[in-house]
Amino acid sequence: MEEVIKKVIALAKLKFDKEGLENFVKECEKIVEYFQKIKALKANERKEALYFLYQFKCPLREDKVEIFKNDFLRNSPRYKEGYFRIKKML
Amino acid sequence: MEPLKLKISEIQEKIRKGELTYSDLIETFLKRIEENKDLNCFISVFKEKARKKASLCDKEFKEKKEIKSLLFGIPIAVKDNIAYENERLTCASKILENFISPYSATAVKRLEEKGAIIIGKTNLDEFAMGSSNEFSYFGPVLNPINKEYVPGGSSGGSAAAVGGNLVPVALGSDTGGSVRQPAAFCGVCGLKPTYGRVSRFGLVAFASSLDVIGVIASYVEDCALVLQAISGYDENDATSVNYPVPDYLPLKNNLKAVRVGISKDFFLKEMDERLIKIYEDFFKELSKIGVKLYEISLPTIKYGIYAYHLIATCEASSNLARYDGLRYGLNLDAKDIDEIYLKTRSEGFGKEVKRRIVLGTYGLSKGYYEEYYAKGLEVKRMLFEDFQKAFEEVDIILAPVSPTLPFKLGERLTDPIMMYLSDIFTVPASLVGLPALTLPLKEKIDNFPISIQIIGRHFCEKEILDFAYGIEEL
Repeated sequence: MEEVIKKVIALAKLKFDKEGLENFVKECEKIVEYFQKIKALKANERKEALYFLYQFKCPLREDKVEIFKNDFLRNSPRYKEGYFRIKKML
Repeated sequence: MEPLKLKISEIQEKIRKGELTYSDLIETFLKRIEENKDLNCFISVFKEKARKKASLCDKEFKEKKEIKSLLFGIPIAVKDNIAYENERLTCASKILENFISPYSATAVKRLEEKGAIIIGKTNLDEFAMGSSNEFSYFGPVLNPINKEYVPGGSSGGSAAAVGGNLVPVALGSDTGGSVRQPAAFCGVCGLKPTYGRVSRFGLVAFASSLDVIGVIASYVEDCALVLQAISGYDENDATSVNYPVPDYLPLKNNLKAVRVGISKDFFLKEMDERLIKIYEDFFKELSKIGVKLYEISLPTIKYGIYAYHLIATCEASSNLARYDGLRYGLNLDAKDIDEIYLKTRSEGFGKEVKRRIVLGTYGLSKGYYEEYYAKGLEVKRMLFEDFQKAFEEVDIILAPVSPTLPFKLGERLTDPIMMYLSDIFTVPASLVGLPALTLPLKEKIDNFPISIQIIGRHFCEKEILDFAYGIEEL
């Protein structure tokens, strides 16, 4: 379990110092154990999963810029000529 | 009576009679906010903006001699995970500490269209993840009834602001009880509408299938008034439902007209005995005045809390993946993109948020999805069918709000499972999208009012509000 949680932490793009990691993993293990109480659900009680409460329609909006791009860019740490700037990937 | 404790309709009556102006009203509440800074209810207060708007309201009233809506000139606080144009939207997180929202949430827009004045943004558990308002980057909120105690969460700032008479009404958000539980802890009314009744556009996503914007107020009538303003279909939210919105006002006592269900499944043996006694006495009182009470069965409730945490954490881990430090929010420079993600997210998120992201990522991982997330959704269907069956026999269901009284600050910080259990009675309505309202009863324990939860059928907020009004009148 410990190794799985450590792997999940890396997948979630999080990191901890050594001591913090040990405590965090222990707490997560306890919570996962608590979640497992849902397994008490008997096979004959089980139902099909319910994803949506109602039948939602998903209307497609017209593909147009409704909010000015600069309004979004101003919250970005780095941008240039109307684009977000990020570190080189290659 | 000072305006701080008046219903909104009574405030407007005073203004109509010339006994009060909107500017006086705003000053009274701004002063009250300033005097109670130690409660830490607010992350932002818009003093000058509010004053300016109040002055415009006075001018308009003077010219037209009429009040265009009951919310006209009324100060309203908004939880800081709900967008308000050109103001900070922090979600009480370091990662969004300086984020400025480019637009307003539909609910906020609709309030402003009625003339309401957004006076400030309230504190919360980071990204609405918590039941005590201790997980805020901006520090904990204190309970106005007793400052050594938590106000509940995650809308603790909104509930404490209303409970402490810092505002007449506030918006909160409710994913698993985040409006109802803090409202109960602070002795005020908290309404979670049906999922889809109020647009989520502009509400920062925590668990999208459960999140709902709700109302916290001192009076049922004020809850109804604000719900009326914010309800209705919104094309910007695909999960908002195009279903007619009835007139919630005037309220009409329906105590004797509805069939009321009570389920033993809600009353756990681990609950505080004093709470059980108060509820039993309350049910006897209702029966005595002629309210028709029926025993109903909701056997799946015991699985609700597990299903809720499985579904909510899985959705949270997915929703919070967008905080990468590149497009908005905190950005910590590093040698490459991967390092930017790691640094920004590790330093930007608090401990509880990280915990839920990790648990959610775990629940969605290959090999665990069927075991956890899918099982949570199975429980959701079971609960849905339980409630459907119950609502064939009754119109309203009464339940407790929390298994315990408000707890002391710090008491549950090291025990996340105990903290999660605070929501055990509020998550069932959330999982199946039902409307529910918590209302303080007359009885108190250690000075904390005890609240009852009133649950109704989908889109039957009117029935709930009328019932709550009936109880308020007792």
